[in-house]
Amino acid sequence: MTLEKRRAPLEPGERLETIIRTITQTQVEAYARAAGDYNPIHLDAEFAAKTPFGRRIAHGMLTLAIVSEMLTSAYPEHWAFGGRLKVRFRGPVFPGETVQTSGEVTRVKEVDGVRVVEIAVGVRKEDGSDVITGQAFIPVHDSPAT
Amino acid sequence: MPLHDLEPGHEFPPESLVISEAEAAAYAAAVGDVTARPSERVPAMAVIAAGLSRFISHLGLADGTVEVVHASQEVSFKRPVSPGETLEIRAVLKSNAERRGNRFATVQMSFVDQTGEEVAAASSLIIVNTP
Repeated sequence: MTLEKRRAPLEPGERLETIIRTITQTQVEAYARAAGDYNPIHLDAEFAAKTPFGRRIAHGMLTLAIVSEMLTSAYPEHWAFGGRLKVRFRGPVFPGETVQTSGEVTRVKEVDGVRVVEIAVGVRKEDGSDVITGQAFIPVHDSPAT
Repeated sequence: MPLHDLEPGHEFPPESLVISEAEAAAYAAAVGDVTARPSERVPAMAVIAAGLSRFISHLGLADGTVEVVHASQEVSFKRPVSPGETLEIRAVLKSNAERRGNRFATVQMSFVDQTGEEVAAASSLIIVNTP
């Protein structure tokens, strides 16, 4: 079997491979255990019903993990070696909803001799509403760290 | 100490954080990360998530008495963390103010390895509904 390695997006306008994922309540509960975040707004239907959201919501960091996965996939040897991410959480994801990541290179600049790729990142629901918007900055060294 | 009693600049006691291979694998499975290699590296965001969860819990914000919303997040990584590696979390409350019945607090965290080098950093803005 041959594994085809996709070239990392390095030019303005290039897009990162999208990830589409449906967030389930089972996944939210597994995330709570794995991350140690037991906030009842994610887990307790009765509690969540009394909040402005009206029902349980997924952890923001669970949704953000999908952005991190997209960046790891596009820049496997660079994201964890100097990568930076700034995001705002725009709206909740309710278990059962499907979200889709986006990433597009907006600028490439040289900082101290290192190419830094700036990427507009986001997560959107099927209805088009934004869940996460932000920017990532990936230093792309000529000799990738391993 | 409750969040509303803390002043901006408050430094939390340093905390030790170790994420085992099994915990890294559980995190990767929970978020559905198909790129993760938990036997070699802890998924980058798992470190931040573990740190943030601790401070939310320490501040008594996960006990069901208040609504907490995560409003924004900044993260940066210097290098991957190995499973089983011991880190120290150094956290500072950067801002803490009440506006229209909501408390806005920013916690800044630095994750430092055993040699004293920072391996990751994060800044989290949380909004707490204070009835």
